[in-house]
Amino acid sequence: MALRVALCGNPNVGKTSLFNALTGMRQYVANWAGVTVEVKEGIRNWQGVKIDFVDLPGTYSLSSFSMDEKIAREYLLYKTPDILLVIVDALSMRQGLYLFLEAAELDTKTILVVNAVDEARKQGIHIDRQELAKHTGVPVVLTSAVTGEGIDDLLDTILRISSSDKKKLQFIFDEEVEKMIKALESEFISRPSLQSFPARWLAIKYLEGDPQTVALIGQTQVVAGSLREKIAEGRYKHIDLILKEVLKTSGEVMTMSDALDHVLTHKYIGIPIFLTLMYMTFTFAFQTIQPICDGIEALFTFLSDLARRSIANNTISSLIADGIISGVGSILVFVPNIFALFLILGIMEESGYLPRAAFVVDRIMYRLKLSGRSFMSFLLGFGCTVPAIMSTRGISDQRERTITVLSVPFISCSARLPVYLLIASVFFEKEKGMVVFSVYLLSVIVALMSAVLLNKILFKGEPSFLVLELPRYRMPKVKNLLLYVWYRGKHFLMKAGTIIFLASVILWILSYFPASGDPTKSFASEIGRALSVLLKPLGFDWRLSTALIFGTAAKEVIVSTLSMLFGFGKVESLGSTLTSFYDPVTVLSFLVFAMAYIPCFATLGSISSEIGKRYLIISVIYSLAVAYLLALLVRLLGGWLV
Amino acid sequence: MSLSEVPVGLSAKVKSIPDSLVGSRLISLGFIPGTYVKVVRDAPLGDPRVYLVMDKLITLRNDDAVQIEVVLDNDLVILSSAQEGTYTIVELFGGVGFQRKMHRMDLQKGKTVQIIGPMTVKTQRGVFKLGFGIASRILLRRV
Ligand SMILES: Nc1nc2c(ncn2[C@@H]2O[C@H](COP(=O)(O)OP(=O)(O)OP(=O)(O)O)[C@@H](O)[C@H]2O)c(=O)[nH]1
Ligand SMILES: [Mg+2]
Repeated sequence: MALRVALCGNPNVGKTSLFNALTGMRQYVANWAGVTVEVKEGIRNWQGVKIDFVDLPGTYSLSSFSMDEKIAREYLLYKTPDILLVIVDALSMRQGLYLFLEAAELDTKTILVVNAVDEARKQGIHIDRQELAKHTGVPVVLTSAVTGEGIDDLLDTILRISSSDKKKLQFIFDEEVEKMIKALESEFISRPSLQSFPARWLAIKYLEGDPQTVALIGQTQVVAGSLREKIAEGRYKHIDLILKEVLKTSGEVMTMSDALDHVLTHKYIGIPIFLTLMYMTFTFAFQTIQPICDGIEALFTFLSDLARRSIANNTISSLIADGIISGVGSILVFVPNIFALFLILGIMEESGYLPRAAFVVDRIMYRLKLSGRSFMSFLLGFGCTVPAIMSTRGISDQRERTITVLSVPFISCSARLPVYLLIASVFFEKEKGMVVFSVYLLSVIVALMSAVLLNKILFKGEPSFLVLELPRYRMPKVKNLLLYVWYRGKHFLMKAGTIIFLASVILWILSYFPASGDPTKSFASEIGRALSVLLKPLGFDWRLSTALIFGTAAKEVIVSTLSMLFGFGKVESLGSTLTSFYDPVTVLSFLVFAMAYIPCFATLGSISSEIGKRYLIISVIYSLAVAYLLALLVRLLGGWLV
Repeated sequence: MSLSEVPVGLSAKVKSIPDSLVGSRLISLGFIPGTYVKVVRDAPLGDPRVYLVMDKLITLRNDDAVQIEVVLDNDLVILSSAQEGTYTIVELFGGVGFQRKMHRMDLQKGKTVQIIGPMTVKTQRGVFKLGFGIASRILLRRV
């Protein structure tokens, strides 16, 4: 039997970083509270013992208010591990020890891990390990997930206490509180339905007024929540006594965080700075990086020419040159853009700026009956919609969460970037950066308006409660950034090798046959024509319609389709062919449609698993309607202006 | 007074927390009666604000912070909630324009003033009835 060891602690203290250091895994780490939203397991063999580590979402206390906190709490209560590691941040130990005192009542073997000691040392804070162990009654290990300090020590300690006897841990409150706890405890022990829980823990939670516990127990002779403040006060008094013995600070160190915050979250320039940063992000991802993309494009043109010239059989050479190389290649051209975008998102997440951006715009979100917290999920949506939807688990209000999940797909994810870039560079050569930036801005506006609309139709709630923790700024580590970019970008490359490759081959077949190479008489044109009846008012012909159909698999496929339908036999002239077919207004309305319509398969999957199957259908219909209306609007406005 | 009225830069001691779900949430974040909370800064448009609580930075909206009752230390009080009596001005929270406007009424750091009614202040220049917006930006100490 493997030894099961769970990591719990406040949000953003470095649980996942430690978990990665302990198991050699690469789970998602970032510098904001609420990154981990599900239970993750990993195995490590240490001195012949198999240890099964479990990483949990962060939680401020064991009373849970949002879904991720609930997951952590349920795990500890219903799947109590053999050993519990309570991770506390060396720079804010008070909050961490509060959770420790709560967890101690769970009646499990516990180790107290003080993480980020590297940062504490830099700030001139010394932590007395022996003293801390003496006062808490459990083994204490000081670690740094960044330098690797203390990891082996932690593994040794785990093995040591796994073979020793369990010690009863208990924090004794003052007399009045203890009397009530004892009274409730004896009542709970006699109830069979409560047998599986630690009775003392339940009694304390009941007196604290924890909603789940109160729901479980119902009313008793004592009023639920009546000692809420006494219990918290008692714990903090105790913690302050411990910390007085344990912490040695050598003078005040002026921190970088304050100075940075003064500028980045400034009263007046905070919002302009945010917008400037966003604009710089996009120009970096679309323009600075462009020469690399051009190089890749040249390479693929060369390859498809080579294939055409060197393969005698016309059908096969067309499959390779027009189907595979131009289908997959037309997307791979955009890999540098996508990696660049992830690089910047990575910097935002690692530095600690992300929640500050949410803070800066919260007032605006409040008007829309949302909170800055959902704005954070929106920002993450620039990368990929799926993790952005996952991150909504940290939103404590169910109504706000549903609305955010349904609106996040409107935010332009990186997969839509190739579509924008292709169209913008063909039609709006000079204002390319501006056009793409505008589509991004539009996607944010649409997402926000969608939230307002959904608020109106689905729910008539009040804005939810907002708490954001602003983590201290951290210098992003180059290694972490590269890993972040690689793991996010890899997904895109894998898609190119699987879905997009497959779609390209199918598309080629559909557009090559039966007229052997004339797409206007192909199967694809039949399909497109059928749909273009509906899309006629938007000005989309069968080619654009076909592209949209295939784009539901993954939005990048729109680009492959276009390059195939227009590019048979001639990769390099896609641009000039496109301009001769469509006017800028049609193209713009196509761009807008492509931005908003049906989320990709992966997104639909996560919508359904996060908030229910029902919403999957709602999302499809809803996004189609929005896309159609927006595109029509662009067409009408454009027709009127031009 | 409530936490939302405490000017940026000051600390206050938590007196009570609302008896609700939000209250429990606040307690779990460290807003415990008896502990100190420092107002660190406010967002553009004044809402939400950042608080230093239990050595970490937490943002709260004013609509939520208004539910947290706090007291200032050492006889400190904001003019908007000052009782009648004699006070000295400890701090004026505002930009140059605000300072100048206050100067005209002889409201300056270190000056002694009298409060003779709700938000009504008597200085050497005369008696002034202040609006809430202004009164909540003047910090006094009882003498
Ligand atoms: N300097 C330093 N930074 C650390 C250490 N441990 C973690 N970090 C950084 O702290 C941030 C948060 O780390 P995570 O491992 O994601 O924290 P978590 O506790 O899993 O966070 P949640 O899943 O949101 O609860 C990241 O930016 C890490 O790079 C450490 O020991 N030293
Ligand atoms: Mg984590």
